[in-house]
Parts: sequence; structure tokens; C-alpha cells
Amino acid sequence: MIGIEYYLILSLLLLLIGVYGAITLRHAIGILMSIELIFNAANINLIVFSQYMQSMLGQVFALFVIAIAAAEAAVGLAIIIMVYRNFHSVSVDEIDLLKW
Amino acid sequence: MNLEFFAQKCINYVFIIPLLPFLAFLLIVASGLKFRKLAPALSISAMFLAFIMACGVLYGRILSHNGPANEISFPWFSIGNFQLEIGFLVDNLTAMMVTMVSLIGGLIQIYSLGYMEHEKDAGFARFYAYMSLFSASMLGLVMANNFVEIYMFWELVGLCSYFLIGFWYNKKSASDAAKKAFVVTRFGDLGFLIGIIMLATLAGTANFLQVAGILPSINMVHGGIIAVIAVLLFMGAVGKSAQFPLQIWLPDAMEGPTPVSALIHAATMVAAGVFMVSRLYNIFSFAPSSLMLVAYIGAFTAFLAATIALVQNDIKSVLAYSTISQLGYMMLALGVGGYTAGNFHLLTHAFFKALLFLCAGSVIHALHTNDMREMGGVGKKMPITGITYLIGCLAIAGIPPFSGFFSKDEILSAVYNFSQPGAAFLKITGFLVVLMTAFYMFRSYIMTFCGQPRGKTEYKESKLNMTIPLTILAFFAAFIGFLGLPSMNLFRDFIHYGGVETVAESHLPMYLSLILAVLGILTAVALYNKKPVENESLLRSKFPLLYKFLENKWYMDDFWSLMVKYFLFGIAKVMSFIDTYIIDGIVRGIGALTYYLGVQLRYEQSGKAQQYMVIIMIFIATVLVGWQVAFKFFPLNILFGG
Amino acid sequence: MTSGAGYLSFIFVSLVILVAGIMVVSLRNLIYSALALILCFSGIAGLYLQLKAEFVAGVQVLIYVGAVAVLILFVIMLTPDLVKAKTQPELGKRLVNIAGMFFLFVVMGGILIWSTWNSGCPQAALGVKELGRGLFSTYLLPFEILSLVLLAALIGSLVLARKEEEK
Repeated sequence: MIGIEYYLILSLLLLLIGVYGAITLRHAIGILMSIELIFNAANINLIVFSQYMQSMLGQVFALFVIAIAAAEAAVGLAIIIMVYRNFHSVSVDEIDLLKW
Repeated sequence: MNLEFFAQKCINYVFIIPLLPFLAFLLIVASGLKFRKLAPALSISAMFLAFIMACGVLYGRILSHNGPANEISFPWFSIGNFQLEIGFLVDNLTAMMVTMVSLIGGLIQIYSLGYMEHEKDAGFARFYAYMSLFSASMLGLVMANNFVEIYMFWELVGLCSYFLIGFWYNKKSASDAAKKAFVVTRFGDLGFLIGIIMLATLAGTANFLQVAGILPSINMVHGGIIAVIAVLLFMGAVGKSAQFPLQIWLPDAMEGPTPVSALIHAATMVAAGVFMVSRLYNIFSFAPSSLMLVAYIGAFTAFLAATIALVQNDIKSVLAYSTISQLGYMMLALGVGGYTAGNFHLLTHAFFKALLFLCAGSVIHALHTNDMREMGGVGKKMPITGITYLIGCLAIAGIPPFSGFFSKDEILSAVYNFSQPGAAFLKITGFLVVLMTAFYMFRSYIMTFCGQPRGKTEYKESKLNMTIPLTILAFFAAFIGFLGLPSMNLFRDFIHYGGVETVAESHLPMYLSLILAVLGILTAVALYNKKPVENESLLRSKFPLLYKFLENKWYMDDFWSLMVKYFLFGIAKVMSFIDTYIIDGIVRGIGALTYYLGVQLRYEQSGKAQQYMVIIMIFIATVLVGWQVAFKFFPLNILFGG
Repeated sequence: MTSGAGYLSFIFVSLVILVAGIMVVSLRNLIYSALALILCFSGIAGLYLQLKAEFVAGVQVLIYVGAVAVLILFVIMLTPDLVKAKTQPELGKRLVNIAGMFFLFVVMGGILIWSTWNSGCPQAALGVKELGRGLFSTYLLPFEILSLVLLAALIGSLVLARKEEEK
């Protein structure tokens, strides 16, 4: 049907959108959401290749990625809450203790 | 034992001659300079044995009737194609030099037993150690068969001179004089070394005989370079033989003990320059312009030193300037082509100058003063010294039948017959110096030994260990000239360059020099026999400027001080600046650079996670682009094996 | 299905995904951002359906939309101050980053397009049966370890986020 390149360009665009968000957004939770986008871009790639190469491995891997992403989101949010409690700010510009 | 056999063996084992005094040096040093009797015993016996072997060598060379030179050579090491060797070349010149050096060296060492008797044990032994080392070096020098070796011994001789001039090193003037001697001769040696390097590079070898063969081909390839090399080599002789403009160190060298002055600065080391020019005469004759330079410098030096000697009051200074002047004569002779004349004068001068110095030392030892104004009438109480000194003066003035007459006559004949343009200066100076030499030498004789005593009166003649060498040297100074009788010139047969030269038979130089010498003597007698000090003051008041100029040694010391101050220290300041600011600057700059890089780079750790991510993305971008460029847009599925 | 319909549905779904994604990163209000995220996830689920990966599509909706996005919304809403924080930096920084992303797109897109992909059109769907079979045979170990990971994340986030005890 459609050539594989179209799906790959789609996932590339989604990846770049996610990366853009990760390096631009100031809000910690915004960055977390951008990272979720990156995960999904990778997942799209996996599913696409699974279908086009007729292999189950892609889907299996995608499932695992989803599960791990969920766990990571939970832990990440917990950390953000803790950071907020200590610094009273979620702007990543202002949290720069580990510097020279 | 057959004499011939002995002579041949001596020639074949000629390297033992310098080895003996060197061994003496090592043993004296190894014994810790403790034993007062051991040091001179070792030293003098080494010189004695060396003298016997030297006589053997001389006899062997006489027997060979001007045969080819004997050469023994031991390879040392090689750098690339260049082979360095330790070798010993025995020809007639070598034979003459070793005999002279070992004889005079031995006599002076015997003399030193008396002169240095007041030294403490350690100093006494140190003196003999240095004397042995010097003798070893000088003997090695005259036997060297290649440039590197002669340079090595040349420097060794200079080093011993430094040790011996500064023997009484606690005296500042002595250590300064030693430094001056070393530095000034080193300056000349620089030219010598450059000349050697040039010649050895062009010829591909350092051996004298081999280079002599290659000279014509060098001259064809690089025209005119031989003249440059000859002048550079001559620089070494200028330094070592105290010629103009490097003569300034010799008068200061009189700070050393008188035996040292006699041996090193009269008879042997300063003669090394003349010897070197003779040894390398083939190089000099290849470039006649260099010989002209030699002659001019020699003549000018002779004149310069003679004028300064006229006004000296220290007896050793008179003799020092006289040495410089006579060395100038020798250079003059070599320059005008009188190879035989120059070397003959070298031989006779060694004997009578050593004699004169030792007599002066005898007087100094007895009267404890060097100043002639405090002497007078010494001849009455020290007859042997007086008579031998008189013989020396007659020899140097050139009065027959003493040796100096014959050697000076040869030189003046050679100069007289010299017909190149510009010879007039040489001839005039040559004869003028005869007049001045006779005058100042007899001035010194009369002021010291004649008339009424002006200073100390309680003294007596020196001991036998001093007077016997004096007598022996006086004998040689008197009679060795007969080797050069015009009719059966044995010396010329032995030592000559190229074919035997025929000399024009004009007797004019001989008569002229004789007249001038007698004139000089009479003037000196007239002025100084009665009331010497008052007459001199009279002269001084009549020619104050001239006296000032001469007493300040033509202001040459001041000239060289200025040169050192402006040139040498100027360059040193520039170098110091470069070292401190540029070279150190580079080193410190690298350190500072690293430091500042660190200071700037630490800002990279800003603690901001987003910034780190940006850097990661930049890196990924660079890698991707670079990959593509490197593999010319190669698709990524190469990773998966296509 | 004809290619035409296939293309059309693909374009529709990808538009949804991309626009939602852009909304996530560019909206100033955080809650709107989170809602756009939900829309994006749903679009992706639709894409998976197109690619005949039904189970993964279901899991995507369940977990991403149902758990992750909801969690994010909970955290945003239960901590009121969080909403007030500024999200977007100044314009210059944004433009520079967009330019950088554009550059990367050119490079990587170029690589993708000018590579040769050895794949034809997909034919059959891979069924859930196969997925289940694989998950419990070949990929059993990662499956079990995944449960451990989830346990760890559970405990970890609880410990991290609980209230500090009053002293």
C-alpha cells in the first residue's frame, strides 16, 4: 500500500517535535510530556517495521516500551513533586544546583 | 744495543713520549698531592725518559735523510662516513719540537725545585701535576696527525695554561689573569674550530696528509675557500701565540710563577701557534693572500710589543712583551715564505727566552721584587745569573756568535728578499724592531744587574737546582745557532718546506741588523748605566704623551673591554630577553592557556539539563552530517548488511 | 482497500498526530497541553489500527491515554501552583530551536528518503494469537522482568512523593 517512507517521515516529525519540546519548554511537566511524544515516535517506528517486515518482535517490543514509559512517567512525576516541594519552582532554568 | 734499532723503536712507539708525563700527572693526583718528594721525582723522571726517547726520534729522523713521515694511527670512532682517529705523525718538524719541549720542560721542572721551595706540600705537588699534564699535552700536540686531535691537545694546553697562570688562585689578579688568558685564547680557538670544521667537511677527512692530497680538488670546486679556511685557522694561532689583536692575555699571564712563564709563555705553548702554521703550511701556501695576512700581523705585532716593552718597569713584563714581539718575528718569517727561518727562530727563541725568564725568576726569588727600579747591581752578588742573563740578552739582540744572530739573520734575509707589493712595511718594521729589541733588553740588563743597588742588599746566588738549568740553557742559547751556519746549514737541511730554497747571497740584512743591534745596546748603556731612574724620568718628561700611550699598551685593553661591554654584553642582554620573555613566555603561555581554557570551559557545566540536551542534539547532528559527508551520502542500511 | 483510501486515512491520522503534537509543545496553558497530548495518543492508536496492530492500539489507549495522561492531569490539577508556572521561553530561543530541528529534519529525512528499503507492501495481519504466543514463549523473560520494573516504579514513586512526616 503506502510506502514505508511515509510512516518513517511521520515518526521522524513526531520525534523532532518531542525533542523541540524537551529542549524548549521551561515547565518540567511540559518536558515530561514531550518525552512521552518521543517514546511514541519510537513506538510508531517499531509497529511500522513489525508490519512491513512481518515480524512479531516489533509489536512485542512496543508493548514493553509502553509499559516502561508508564512506569517512567510515574516516577518522573513523583520527582517533579519533590523538586517542587524543595525549590518551590518547576522551571528548569531555575534548578541549576549541579553547576560549577 | 744498536742506536739505529733504538731510534726506529722510538719512532714506532712515539706515543709513549706524551704518555709518560701524563702517567706522572695521574700518579701525582692519585697519591692525593701528599708526598712532597714524590711529585717532582715522578714528573722529572718522566720528562727525562721522554727526552731520551725524543733524542731517539730525532736521531731516527736524521738517519732517514728527509724520508717520508712516519704515521701511526688508531681508529677512534666513526660518525657516518667520517672516521676519527688518534694518530701520531713523525716528521722532522715533530722531531725537533719533541726534543726541544722535553729538554726545556725537564730543565724548567728541575729549576722549579728551587723556585717553588716555599710552597706548601699540596701546592708543590699540584704544581708538578699541572706541569706534567701540560708537558703531556704539548708533546701530544706536536705529534697529532689530524685536525681533531690537534684541536683536542690545543685546548688541553690552554686548560693547563689556565691552571698554571692561576696557580696562586687566592690572589684575585692571578685568577683574573687566568680567566683572561683562557677566554681570549678561546676566542681565537673559535676561528680555529670553524676552519677545521669547514676543511674536514669539504675534504671528508681530518687527517693532515690526506687533506694535503685533497686540497687541489677542493680549490677547483670551491674557488677561494682555502684562503678563508687558512685565515680561520690562523685565528687560532693569533690567540695562542698572542698576536695582534689578541695579545692582551700574555702580559697578564705573568701573574703565574716564573717557571710557568718560562715554560708556557716563552718556550712552548705560545710556540704552538707558530708550530701550527708550520704544520699546515701547505694549506697556507695554497692561498698566498693568507700568508700576506700572517706576515702583516706578525710584523705589526712585533712592532707593537717592542714599543710597549720600552717603558715597562716589571722585569717579567719586559720579557713578556719581548716574547710577543719575537713571536711576531716568527709569524713574519713564515708569512714571507721563510719556513726554515721561522722554525729556526722558534728553536733559538725557546732556549734564550726560557733562559731569560729563569734568570729573572732567580733574581725575583732572591730579591722578592719584580720591579727593576728596586734592583741594580745584582750581578755582583749573583754572578751566574748575571752572566747567563747577559748571554740571553746578546742572543736575543742578535749579536754573533750567539744563536739569535743566526736565526734573526735568516728571518731578515727572507724579509729582505721578499718582493711582493707592500713588502716595504714589513722590511721597515723588521729592522726597526731589531733596534728596539736590543735597546729594551739591555735596558733591563743594565737596570737589574749593573750600577748601584737601589733596593734590597742582603741576598745571595741561587742554589744549584736553579743555576744548573740556567747554565745548560745558556749553553744552548749560545751555541745552537751554529746549526744554521750559512755555509753548511744543517738546520735548513733538516727543516724546510718543499724543495730546498736557494737564498740570495746579499749580506746587507746581516750588516744592517748588526749595526742596529749595536746601536741599540750603546744607547741603552748610555742612558741607563749611570743614574738610570733619573734619566728615565727625564725622558718621561720630554715625551709625556708617548709614554702614556705606550704605558697603556696602546689602549688595547681598554678597547677590548669596550668591545666586551657593548658587543658581548649587548648580545647577552638580547639573549636574556629572548630567553625570559619569548622562550619562557611560550612555556608559561601554554600553562596559562590550559588554565584559561579550564576557566572558560567550566561554564559548560551550567546545571541546566536542557542545555545538556541541546548539546547532545548538536552532537548527534554533527555525527549524522559527518557520516553522510564522509561516506558521500551513503544510506544507513549499510549497517544491516544491505 | 484501494490505495486512495489508504492514503487518505493515513494523511488524516498523521495530521491529527502532528497537529496535536505541535499543540503539546506550543500551548501556554499546561492543561490544554495535556489534553492535546491525549489527542495525540489517540491519533497514534488510530495509526496502529491502520497498521493492523489492534492489540497494541488497545494497549496504547488503555495505558497511555488512560493511565499516563490521566496521571499527568492529576498531578497538574492537584498542585495548583504548577499550572501558573510559565511554560514557553522567549521567542528567540524558540526560533533557534525550531531552526535546529528543521536542520535535523533535513538531514535525517534525507537519509530516510534516499535509503533503499527492502520491503514490499504488507499483506497479512499479525494476529493477537501470535502476539500472545510469542509473549509467553520466546519473550517470557522480558515479560516477567517487566513486572518487576513496574513493582519498582510503584514503590519508588510512592516513597518519593509521600508527605513528609510532621516533626
